[in-house]
Amino acid sequence: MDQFVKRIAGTLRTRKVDYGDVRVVMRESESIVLKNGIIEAITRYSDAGFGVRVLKDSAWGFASSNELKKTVADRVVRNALSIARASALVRSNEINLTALPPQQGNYRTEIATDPFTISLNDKIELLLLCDQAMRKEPRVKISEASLDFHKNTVYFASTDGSYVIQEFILSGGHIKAYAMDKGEMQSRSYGDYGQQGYEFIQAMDFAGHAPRVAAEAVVLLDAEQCPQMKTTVILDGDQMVLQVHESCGHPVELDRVLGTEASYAGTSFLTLDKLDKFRYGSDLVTIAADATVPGGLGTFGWDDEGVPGQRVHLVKNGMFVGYLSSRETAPIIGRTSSGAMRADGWNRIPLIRMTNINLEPGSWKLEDMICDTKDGLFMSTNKSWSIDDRRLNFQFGCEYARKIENGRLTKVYKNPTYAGITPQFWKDCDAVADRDSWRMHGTPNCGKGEPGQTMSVGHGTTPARFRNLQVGIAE
Amino acid sequence: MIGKREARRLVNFVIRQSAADQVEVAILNHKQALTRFANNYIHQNVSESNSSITVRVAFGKKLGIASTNSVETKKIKDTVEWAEKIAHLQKENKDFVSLPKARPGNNRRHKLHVKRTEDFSARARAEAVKEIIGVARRNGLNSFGSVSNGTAEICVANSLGTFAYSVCDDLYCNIVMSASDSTGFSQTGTRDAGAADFRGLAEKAANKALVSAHPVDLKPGRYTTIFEPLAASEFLSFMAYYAFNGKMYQEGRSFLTQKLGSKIIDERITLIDDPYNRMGFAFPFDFEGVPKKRLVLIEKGTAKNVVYDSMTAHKERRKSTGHSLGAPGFFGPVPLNIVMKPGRKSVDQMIRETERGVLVTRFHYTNVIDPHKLVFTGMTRDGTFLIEDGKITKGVKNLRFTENIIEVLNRLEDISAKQELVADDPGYGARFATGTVVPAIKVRDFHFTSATEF
Repeated sequence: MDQFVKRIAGTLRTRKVDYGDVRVVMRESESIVLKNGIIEAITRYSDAGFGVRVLKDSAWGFASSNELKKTVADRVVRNALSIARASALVRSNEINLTALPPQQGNYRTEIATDPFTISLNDKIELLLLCDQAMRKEPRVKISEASLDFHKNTVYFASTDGSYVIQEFILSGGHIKAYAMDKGEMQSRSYGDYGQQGYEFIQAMDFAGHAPRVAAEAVVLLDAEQCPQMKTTVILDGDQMVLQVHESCGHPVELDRVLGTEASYAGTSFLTLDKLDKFRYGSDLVTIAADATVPGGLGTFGWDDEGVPGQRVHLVKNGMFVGYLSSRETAPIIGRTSSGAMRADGWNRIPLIRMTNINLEPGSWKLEDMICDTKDGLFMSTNKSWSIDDRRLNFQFGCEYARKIENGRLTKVYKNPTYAGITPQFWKDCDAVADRDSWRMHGTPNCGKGEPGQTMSVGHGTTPARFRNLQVGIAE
Repeated sequence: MIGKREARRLVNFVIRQSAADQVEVAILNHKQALTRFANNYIHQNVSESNSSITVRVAFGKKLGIASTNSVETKKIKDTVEWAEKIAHLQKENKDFVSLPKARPGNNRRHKLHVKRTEDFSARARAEAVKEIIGVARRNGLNSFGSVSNGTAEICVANSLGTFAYSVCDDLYCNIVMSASDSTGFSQTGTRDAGAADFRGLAEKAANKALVSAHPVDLKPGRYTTIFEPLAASEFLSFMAYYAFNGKMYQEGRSFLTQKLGSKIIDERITLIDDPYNRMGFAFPFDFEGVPKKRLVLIEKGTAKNVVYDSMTAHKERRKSTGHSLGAPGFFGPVPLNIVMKPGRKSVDQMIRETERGVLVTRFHYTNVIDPHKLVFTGMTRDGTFLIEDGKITKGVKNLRFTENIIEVLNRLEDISAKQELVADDPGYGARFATGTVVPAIKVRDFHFTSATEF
């Protein structure tokens, strides 16, 4: 494959493009889905191909194919150049990419156990154990359990002289119990993804969590509806994943800010004039993009235009201080690329995407945070999400809420939702839990772009407390 | 594209490779290209060519599925071996009875393959974008959007004699026009690139941006609301996935569970899954190769049918309705060609008859809060207007709604006489055009629960 990739990069150099790169991506995936004791499917998927991106006379072109052959490669290069010429019919000002020294090297996910070496039988047995545990609850009518594994190998070469090879291994699992009775349906789930081997699945202890998941789904059937009110809310770490993702991760994407996602995903309220000047949240809120943290779905050696993975602050002590950017967009704000260009496979161009967007831990023990809350709610596990196209007005729903009364968790509420306006919400954050509660989570399905791209991103989060938050649906 | 003869040879080759009791092969070859523009210039311009071969084998009730995007013989053989290996490790799936048996197809001729759509080049897309940007510049606006076209070759066959083959093309275009404090949107999807009126689309989006300039705050609350077809289609899409889905129906997760035969929404509403509607994206079979038929879902407000693939159909000892999304079918069967019957009024008349209300162009980021009860939420976007005394008077800042779809469709005031094809955007996977044929609708007391700042 080395020769195939280097030959294309060489061809691009001879075509005198302003810039060009080639990526070969090979993927292997395995998925097992079990429902009510029946294995609905075990699927194995392999996918490979290459994409060529060129910048010629400040106009972009990209072409790709699943046929890894020399003759096809020549055709794809010609096609990419032809597309760039068409782009030049309606082009912008001159495009200048930030300088980047040639990158060379390898990156590989550090794993203890390759998940593809674990037998299907062992994986099936684990899922059956979870299923049996959940269906011990008579009012659990549907139980779901699944495992997913991915191995992605990426070869990247550019006309800048970069050549890197990266191999990623992702593991994930999910269990869910649906309880039903008298026309009511409630669900509870547990799951996560990590850039780790099978040890990630073992550490998740799905079988150990299954009885709790089922029991909580059943409790929800008889729980009171979450009331409508303004109150104090502590969001559990797993809900903070969604909160950070939607209200910080997306609005700091510089392509959204510059309008290049306007027709589809939308734009951002974090406009260029706000950089280094805008109070995004309270002093307690510090959020960084960190592509170097072990185990994150957004961890890599280099992004998909060869920029090394790095850690950059987005929000520091409440102030908005940074964007996720690319080699093309970073010069517009007078900075270098934050290394956030990522592509969903060989047939998609890299876009500015989240890496691992992490809320830095605070100083509160979670127990102390609850004890310190006189009246409020503790909400866990995302169930629904919606936010406007500038990432201001959001409404999120959780699976499970507990009332907090005089520092103690008391009764359960069903269908909890909360809503807010992003900067006001973060300004009302008055407590962030410490590193003991902090953990990396994975979001394997972040959507963006046309044609659509799905990206695996990470979020390191910890529970946090927010004052004066609207819960339930306001009339 | 490999052609029908080669497709037949290839599926027969795959079937012969397997010792399974039953074998299914689904081939999807596609190519697509997309030109994206923003701030009045082209900023992304891409093309891809890809294939997928999915093999499902059954040894008794033990199933295995494997896929590859390689067309190399060795990889295809490996894929069959993987599917068989998986099946041997499987537990029996008691819900599996059989892959679909061969059924006579629909003999109607459908013009799915349009050469000039397949040949719509990067230059042609750039010229279309130039025309759109011209409209933007003449109106002092910024334009954003995409023009894309694609061709899909689909062949589904199994060892029981099922063989279905088709090639289809489509073009999709969406446009956001942006003024200093307002935006407008339009979109189209068509099998025939020659039918796309890029200038007309651009003018429609520009007009919305201009009319909604300097939007005012509107207090959240309940308003009589007119939904243009694009917005109205979202109600139907959520019903397609969460209510008419035969798997969810069987599991008790559909709103329609135990309600078939009952009147559930306003009697002026009839919904039909019509894969041959002349306005829609006709397609003759599903991803198990089962011929599609017209199926009434809601008739005059009464729930009539949900849709099935082979697995869900066998559970009720009935035939598949031709709505499989393909193996492995985790999500269940979904109607992809919903048509809502039109009413009698024009949208203009519906506006004239509204004393005070809101007109919605489209929604953003709608999502289900309670799929069982069909409660969902979302934001308005790209053209939300205030209607006062029978006229559109101004744009309003975007609003969040939280509503129960069934209750909304029981608060129906009117349905427009004109239907439109609302094409789904090309999405994430392989190119395959789908869309909803839907009129505008007017409802009373639509619940806007909060507002935003723009």
